[in-house]
Amino acid sequence: MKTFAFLFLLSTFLLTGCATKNDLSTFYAHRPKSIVVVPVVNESPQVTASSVFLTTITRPLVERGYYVFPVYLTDMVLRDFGLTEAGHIHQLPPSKFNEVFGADAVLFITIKDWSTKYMVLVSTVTVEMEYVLKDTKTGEILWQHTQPYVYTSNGGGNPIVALVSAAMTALLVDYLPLARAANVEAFKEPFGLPAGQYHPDFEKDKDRF
Amino acid sequence: MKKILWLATPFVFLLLTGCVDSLFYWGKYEDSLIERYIENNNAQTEIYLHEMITEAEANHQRVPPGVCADYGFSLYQRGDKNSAMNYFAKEKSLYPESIPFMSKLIERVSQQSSLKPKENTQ
Repeated sequence: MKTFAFLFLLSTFLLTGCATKNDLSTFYAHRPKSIVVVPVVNESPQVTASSVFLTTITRPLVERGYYVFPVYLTDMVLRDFGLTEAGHIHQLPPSKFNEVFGADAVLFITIKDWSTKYMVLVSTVTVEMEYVLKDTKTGEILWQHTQPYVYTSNGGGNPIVALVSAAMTALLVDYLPLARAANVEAFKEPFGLPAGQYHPDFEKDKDRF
Repeated sequence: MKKILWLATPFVFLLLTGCVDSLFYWGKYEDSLIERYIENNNAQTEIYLHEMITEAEANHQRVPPGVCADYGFSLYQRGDKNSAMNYFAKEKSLYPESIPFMSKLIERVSQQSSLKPKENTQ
């Protein structure tokens, strides 16, 4: 009896262990081929974050094997429909994006953090995004993930020089490689997106996610 | 024989990493978006996108999804509607997932083109 109780405990451990991975059953049931990335909601105080981020999203997602609608053209077409506010766009029923673009899935991204913290000797740059992929026919969530990425630079010698150079580069230069790296990280195993049809691992990587 | 093998190793390595590295030819794609979104320089975007498409074709590599559509839209923005429609059609033939969206764009642009001579006579 005791052995049974022990096995029971052990199995719940194992099961919960699996549950910490993303549940991809809905994803596999729908198997999206094409993804439209709509304008991102920016919860950080940095106004340039959205446009800097959008330049980095296409490549890593395409490299996972998906057809990704061109982000700029997507933005322009939505504007044509009077949809200029990312917050509003994220509230629309996902079926709208099937109607307009014929996309299988829509990716809603929210920038949670996009900041630089200056200290005397080091500055820390942080980006964090929340990704939610929804099926455009049923509105169901196919996949979601939150991805932070942190970079700490050691200013070295003169603290004032370090401060100034960090401040000068923080606006444009520092965030791009971080956003890129965060996207690559977000889509890869074990928490990312299984390979799409253009990837050689398509339908061969189920055990890795 | 050994010498040849040694010479060949870096090339094999290059070939292998080349394959693993990327499924598509990216050229200056990210730069093309930066020009558009951050620098507001559509002319430079157009140059980068055109470069990408011709270089990919010259290297027999795949043009990534959306690039022909993007380039078509650049052409449309500066008034070259016929070329724009050609590139929307090219996107369609490269990537069937884009057919519904591209067909709609072509339809809208062609309707505008037929109106254009009227505008000119006024």
